[in-house]
Amino acid sequence: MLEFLRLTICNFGPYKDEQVIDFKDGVTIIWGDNGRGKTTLLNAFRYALYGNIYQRSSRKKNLLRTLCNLENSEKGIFSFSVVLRMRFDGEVYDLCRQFKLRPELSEPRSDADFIEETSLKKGSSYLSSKQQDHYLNKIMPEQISRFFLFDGELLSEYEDLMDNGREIGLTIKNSIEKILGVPILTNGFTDIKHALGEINKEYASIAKKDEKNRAFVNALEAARIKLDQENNELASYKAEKQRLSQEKADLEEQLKKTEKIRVLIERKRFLHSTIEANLRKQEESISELKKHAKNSWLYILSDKIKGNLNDIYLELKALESKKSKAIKIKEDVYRLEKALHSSICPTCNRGLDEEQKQSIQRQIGLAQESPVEFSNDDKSKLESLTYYKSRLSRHINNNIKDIISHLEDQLDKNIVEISDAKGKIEEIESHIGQSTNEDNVFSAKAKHDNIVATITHIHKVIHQLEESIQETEASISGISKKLSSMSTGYEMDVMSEKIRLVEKIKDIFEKGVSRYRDLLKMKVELDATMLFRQISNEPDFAKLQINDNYGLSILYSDDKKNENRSAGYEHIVAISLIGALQKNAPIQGPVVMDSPFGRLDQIHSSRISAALERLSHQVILLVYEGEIDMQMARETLGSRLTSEYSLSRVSGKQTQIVRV
Amino acid sequence: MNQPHHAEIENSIEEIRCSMYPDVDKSLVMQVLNIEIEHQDNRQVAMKEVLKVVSQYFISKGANNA
Repeated sequence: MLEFLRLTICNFGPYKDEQVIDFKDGVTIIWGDNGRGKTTLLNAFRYALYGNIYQRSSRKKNLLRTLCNLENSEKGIFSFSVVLRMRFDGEVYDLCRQFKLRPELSEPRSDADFIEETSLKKGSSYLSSKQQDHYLNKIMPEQISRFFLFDGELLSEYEDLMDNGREIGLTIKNSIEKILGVPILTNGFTDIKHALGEINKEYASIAKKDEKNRAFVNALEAARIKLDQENNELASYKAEKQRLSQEKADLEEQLKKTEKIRVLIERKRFLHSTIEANLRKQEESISELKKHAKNSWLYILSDKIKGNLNDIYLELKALESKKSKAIKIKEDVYRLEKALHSSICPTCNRGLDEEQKQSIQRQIGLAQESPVEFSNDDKSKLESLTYYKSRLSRHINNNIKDIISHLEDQLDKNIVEISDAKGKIEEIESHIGQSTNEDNVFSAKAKHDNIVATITHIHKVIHQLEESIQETEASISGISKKLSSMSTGYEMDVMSEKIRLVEKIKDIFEKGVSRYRDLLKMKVELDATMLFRQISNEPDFAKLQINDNYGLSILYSDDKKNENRSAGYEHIVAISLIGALQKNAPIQGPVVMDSPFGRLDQIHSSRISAALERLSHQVILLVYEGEIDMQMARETLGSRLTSEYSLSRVSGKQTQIVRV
Repeated sequence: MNQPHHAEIENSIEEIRCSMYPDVDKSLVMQVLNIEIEHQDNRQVAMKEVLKVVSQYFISKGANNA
């Protein structure tokens, strides 16, 4: 069991000169506002144990100069150190790590200008460098550090365990298996397989002496050469995948840093395209406006023309009426004359008597005396007026004013939009800065996308190679069995027996891995559920269910999965998993939590505080006062709260650790 | 690593050996397991030691048979 006893930091981040924090079993709370150095303290533990620093993007930070206290740096002091005193399996260890500026230099320009010195003292004896690595790896291997030194802001990574395809999920799964001791069995399986390969080689060289075995031995050797090649290829692809994954992580950090700039550049490019579109619209509007402007004068004469047209309409109407009447009279006279001439009534076809004839004669006389006559002058006037009506009507365009007005509005709108966009571009450019190479910002994104595609491809190749290796191994096993059945002699019998036995041991380890994994998953699921139920205040959440990646789902009492859990519950599930892993891990140690309650309400913060003792025997909380209520924390933790410190501001560049 | 954890790993292996491969010598399996526990931080040493233990087992078995 590991226990932290004391952390001594000197010139590390905001901690100027030497400052000390003592730890006891139980819970230590270190209160600090934002920017006071809580994450720096978490990093101090990480730096002491592993010699590196993590940023919230999980990537190692490689700027030693920035780790030196700023006030002292300004005085030319470029050195810092962290000493971690701890107890492991009854022995006290003092781990000291420090960086010093090379004596010939007065100021560092890169990390290479620093010299690192590390020492590990066990009791009163200093350990050699080799022993240091051995003990540190034994005390707390780096692969499992995420379960001891964790940043509340990074708990969301555990959500990736729910997704089989995610790289980070795989990394966490490997870390979980490491903490649970699974590699002991997987390594055992690999090493036995290696031993089996060596015995098979020995067996083949003996069998080769007998002519009748030659063909099988040759086939066996060919299969073995193939297996070696495949294994080498697999190792090389795995190494390449690891290298690319690191490069991807680096690029992701770079992208994260430039994300804001990338968004601004994209916005700027969009604004440029808006300007271009508005300029095009502007040209179109101007061209339309020119076309319509030619006839704009008509609008001025529009009322006059309308008046004239009205007069013409009236005259035309009168002329047409006159024409109709004249035609009607002519037709009537013609009809009456025809009746008079034939002496037959045109209506009833009877003969006309004299009286009727005289009456018709009178009617004809009256009609011929009528003044209605459509003269040639009338006819030419009608034609002339019709022509003018047609000409003038063409010049009446009621919409021209609206069209021109609309086009002018459109032009104004375009001008405003162009002007606004130019203003915004200037503002963006002032944020981006002159020195930013926009193409570089986007080439990193393109490079990242390429790497992701390559990793996906390599992942497939690795899968294919693994399948091929399995086939080759099966083929070797088959040939070996045939060889064994054909071979005779004491030496061959002994070798065959050896192979059979080692194959059985290989099977035992292979099956042992599955059995142990199942057992662990069952235990982790059970312990995580217990912790979860202690923390959660939702009675409908019945249990947690583990998947092959050690991801945990929340189940309702009817065994249905909660598919849409909140950010707060993601946090609670992650903490439940960490607690369960701690309980089942072969390595038990202190848990240092930075901002662990960030996503949680006061009720759940209080419930987690009450459950801290189930998380680990020693818990160090780095919190700000608003994150958890101080009084409530003290009451909830009671005697488990063994010490409290406060990170007190001295200046913007300096924080003092004060015991509360 | 602490002992209770070893015991669980040991139990997982032993249950399989006992039920499926009772003819395999328990001591040999446990020797391999102990090597893996002891040399978790050094894979090359673990691999060599496992090969050595297996070879020695047959040598000593051969000597006993002789």
